[in-house]
Amino acid sequence: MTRRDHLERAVLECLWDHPDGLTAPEVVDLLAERQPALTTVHTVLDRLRAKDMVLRERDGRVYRHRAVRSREEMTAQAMLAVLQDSADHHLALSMFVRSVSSADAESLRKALGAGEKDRPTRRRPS
Amino acid sequence: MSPELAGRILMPLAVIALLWPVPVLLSRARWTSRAPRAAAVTWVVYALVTAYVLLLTLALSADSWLIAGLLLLWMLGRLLQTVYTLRGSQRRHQDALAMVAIYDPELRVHIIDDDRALAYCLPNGSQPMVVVTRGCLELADDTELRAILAHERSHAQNRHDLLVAGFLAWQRIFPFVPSCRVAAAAVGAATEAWADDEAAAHVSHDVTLRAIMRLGSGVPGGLDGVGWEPDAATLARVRRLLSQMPESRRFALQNP
Repeated sequence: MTRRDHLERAVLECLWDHPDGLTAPEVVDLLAERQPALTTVHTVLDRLRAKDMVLRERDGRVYRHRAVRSREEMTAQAMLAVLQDSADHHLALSMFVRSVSSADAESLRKALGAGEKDRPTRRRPS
Repeated sequence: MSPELAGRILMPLAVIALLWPVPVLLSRARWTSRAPRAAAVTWVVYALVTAYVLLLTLALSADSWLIAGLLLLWMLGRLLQTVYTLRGSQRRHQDALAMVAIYDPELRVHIIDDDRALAYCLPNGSQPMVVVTRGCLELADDTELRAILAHERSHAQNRHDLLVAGFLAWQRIFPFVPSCRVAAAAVGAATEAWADDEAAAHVSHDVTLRAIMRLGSGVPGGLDGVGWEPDAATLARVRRLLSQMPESRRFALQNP
C-alpha cells in the first residue's frame, strides 16, 4: 500500500468513527499526529468522493463529509464481489476453492440490501 | 489442386475443424491434466491459429478484405472491452481492499476481517495481490496455509490472470460458439492444476489436498467423515492430486 492509500484510509477511519460527519478542518485536527495540510485533506476527501466512498453535505457555510458505507458494509460488499465472481467473471480472480455456499452470498446480499435502505439518498457532487 | 479450390473448400473445412472437433478433443485429452503448462501454451497457440485461419479464410473466400477487416476490428474491440471492464472492476475491488484489508508483510498477503474462509489472487497489473480472510487463517493449519499461499502465489507469479482474461475475451468474441466456452473452462482448469502442482512441490500432495478439503468443507480439525460435496472442477483437482500420489500415501490419507 502506498502513502497515499494510508492517508486515505486514515481519513476514512476518522469518518467511520464520526457517523454524524466531519468538516475538513475537523479531520485535520483528528489526524494531528500526521500533521496533514488542510489542502491535502481536501484532496484526499475529493478522491474518496470520486471513489464513491464519501459523500458531502452542505451544513450552513461548511461541507460535512460522511462515509457512504460503514467498514462492515464495505467488507461485506468486497466479499460479495468475490463470491459472485464465478458467474460473470467481472473480477476474474483465482479463488483457492469456491467453497462458500450460496446461502452465504444470499445473507451478504440481504445484509447489504438492508443497509442500502437506511442510507440517505446520495447527491451528486455539485 | 488449384489455389482457388484450396481457398474455397480446404480453408472453410479447416475453420470448422478449428471451431469444433479440435477444441473438444483437446479439452478431453488426458495429457493436459499431467502437463498443465503445456496445455495452457497449446490453448494459446490454438486460439491464435484459429483467429488467423478464420480471418484468412474470410479474406480469400469473400474476395474482399472488408468482412475480414470487420471481424478483426470486432476481435480487437472485444479484447480491449474485456480488459477495460475487468481492470475497472478489479481497481474498484482494490480500492475497497485498501480501506478494509490489512497487509501482513511477513506472509505477504492482504487480510480481510471476515469469518468466511476465502483465499484468492486478485489481478493487479504486473503485481497480482494475494488476499485471504481471517476465517481462512483460523481454519487452515500452518502447513495447509503454506499450500494455499503457494497456490495463490503461483497464480500471481505466472500471470495466470492474463490467460484467464484472454480466454474470457475469446469466449466473448464468439458468444455463439460453444467450444470457446469449453476452451475458457479448460484454460481455467489448467491454471488451477498448474498452481496445485506448485503448491504440492512447495509442501506436499497430501497437505495440498487437505487444504482444498479444509477450505472446501469449512471444517476445522480432522477431516474424517466430512460431508463435503465439491463442484465438478474441484473434484477434478482432488482426483488429479490423488492420482499423482504413490499408492501408500493415498491409502494413508483415506484411512488415517
